[in-house]
Amino acid sequence: MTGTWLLVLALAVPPAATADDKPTHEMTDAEKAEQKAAKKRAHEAAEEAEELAEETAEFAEKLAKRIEKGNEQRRKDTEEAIKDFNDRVKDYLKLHKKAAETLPKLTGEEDPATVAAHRVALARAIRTRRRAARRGEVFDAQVVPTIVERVRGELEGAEARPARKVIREGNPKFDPEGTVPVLVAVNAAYPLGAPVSTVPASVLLVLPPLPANILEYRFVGRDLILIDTEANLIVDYILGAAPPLPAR
Amino acid sequence: MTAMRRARSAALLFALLAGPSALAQTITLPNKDSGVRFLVMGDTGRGDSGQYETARMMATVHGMFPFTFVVMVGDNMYGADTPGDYVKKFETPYKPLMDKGVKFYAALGNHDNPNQRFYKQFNMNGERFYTFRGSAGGLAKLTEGGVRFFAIDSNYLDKSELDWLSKELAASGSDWKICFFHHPLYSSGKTHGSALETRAVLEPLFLKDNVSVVLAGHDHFYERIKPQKGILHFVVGAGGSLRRGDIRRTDMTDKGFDQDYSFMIVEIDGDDMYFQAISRKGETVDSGVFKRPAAAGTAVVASPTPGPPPRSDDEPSASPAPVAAAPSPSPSPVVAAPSPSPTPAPAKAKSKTKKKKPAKKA
Repeated sequence: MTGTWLLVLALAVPPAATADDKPTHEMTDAEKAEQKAAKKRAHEAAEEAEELAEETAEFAEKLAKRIEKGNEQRRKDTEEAIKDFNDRVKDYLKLHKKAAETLPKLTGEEDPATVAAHRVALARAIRTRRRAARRGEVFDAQVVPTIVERVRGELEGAEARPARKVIREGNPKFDPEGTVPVLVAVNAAYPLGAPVSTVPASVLLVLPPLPANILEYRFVGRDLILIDTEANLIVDYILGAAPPLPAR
Repeated sequence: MTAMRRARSAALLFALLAGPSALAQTITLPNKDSGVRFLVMGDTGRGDSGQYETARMMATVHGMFPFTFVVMVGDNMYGADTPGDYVKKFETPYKPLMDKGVKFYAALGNHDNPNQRFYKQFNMNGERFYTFRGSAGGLAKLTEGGVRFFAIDSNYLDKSELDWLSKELAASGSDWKICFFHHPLYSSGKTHGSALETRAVLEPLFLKDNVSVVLAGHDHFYERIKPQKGILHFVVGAGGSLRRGDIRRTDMTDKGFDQDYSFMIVEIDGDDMYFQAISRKGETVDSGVFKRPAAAGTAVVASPTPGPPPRSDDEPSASPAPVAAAPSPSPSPVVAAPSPSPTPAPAKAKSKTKKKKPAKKA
């Protein structure tokens, strides 16, 4: 009997309230409307984000295509500029050969005096044929940026320190044996007493190759010159092609 | 005091009368007719007294050790190279050698006009880079093996030259492949030092095709570098130019001498390469024998003559006096023996005194 009363009491008395309990109440219409609006806003924001992502991807794709197109164009321009440069080198080579044909051919048995006289005569014959030559005739405006970019690509930065050191070797403006003034001008003779700069292999390997034993790239200070080694003649040049070189 | 002065004067008078030949009586090389005998010189073309006096010592040495050709490691003609310069800076000083039929093979240095390749006496045949076979007694060897030299233009290592070098090195079946050019891949020079850029390009080719020895100049002193990756490197750049005290203290130097002009004589006999560096005054500044790595299993340099006490020549800038190796203490030194001779005693003595050093890897 007592047990039954206790059970009744227990069911009648509500359990003690806890801290977690929240007051429960019916949502008002205003609250419901706000909740609905919030859901809608979230949905819209998600949609907007999705659209934006799509647009961004589309833009990135278009940009990549434009960059690729630009690169392709630049490659074509570079190839064209180098092709034109190679053609001008070939033209020079023809001119050199025609000038050489007017002179007795060296057989390799000559004494130094004959070789020297041949060199002077060849230079004279080439100068006559290139009387009107100006700076940029071989290194034209189209190819200069490419060549400078390639030269600097191999000579800038900490890793290129050994290459920059190489350029100073024999460079008439830096040589420890004494500097020699070299007039950098089209058709100027490279002074016989001047040392000849070493050109780093890394630079030579990225520049358009030149006909062996006739034309060479060399540096005078920071200027890149194109020299006819047989005639000892500066054919063309690019001022400041190399980056600033260290004092030592 | 007076007696001492008199003795000193007498000694000086004797030295002057005897001339430089008195100072160079000891050739530490086997001096066999079957050996490939040659001289190495670099940075010669000044046309001044230093070059001329060194050239006279070369002629004196030739009287005792009849080398058949000379390898020139560049800077053959400083300053102008007019016809008169060829006479003054090359033909006159080396006339005694040329008169004896000694041939010269040149590489171009940074002070050389590339047109030197047309100069007949340099035997370059109009090429900046070329190869030739060294032969004993001036006779060409018909079989494979032997010694092949590769002259490289280190001033202008373009694709055509690198392709050529790669092809020629691979095609050569010679036991000894010796490359010579101007810029040293390893050098302790304060002025120039190691040509790192050139090393990066050339060394892989040398290693791939078993180059044994590299001869260079550019720094104006003599230096023998400890074998690097199995290759023995020499800097022989004081044949006519000198930078006293220019060798820095580095751990790659096996022997260095920067107190006077110098050159090196070499004899290759089978798998052994004997070398002796001699100063303008006739002092032996270094000598030794190098066993071909492919034959020895590793690069080994042994000194046939005990060197001077504790390597003072490795710190030449601190050493006021010229450093020269002591004359061979061998009881039977080779003295001027131009005529064919049987196997000389020092060769045996060398094998007794060989001290194998472990090859130092770079």
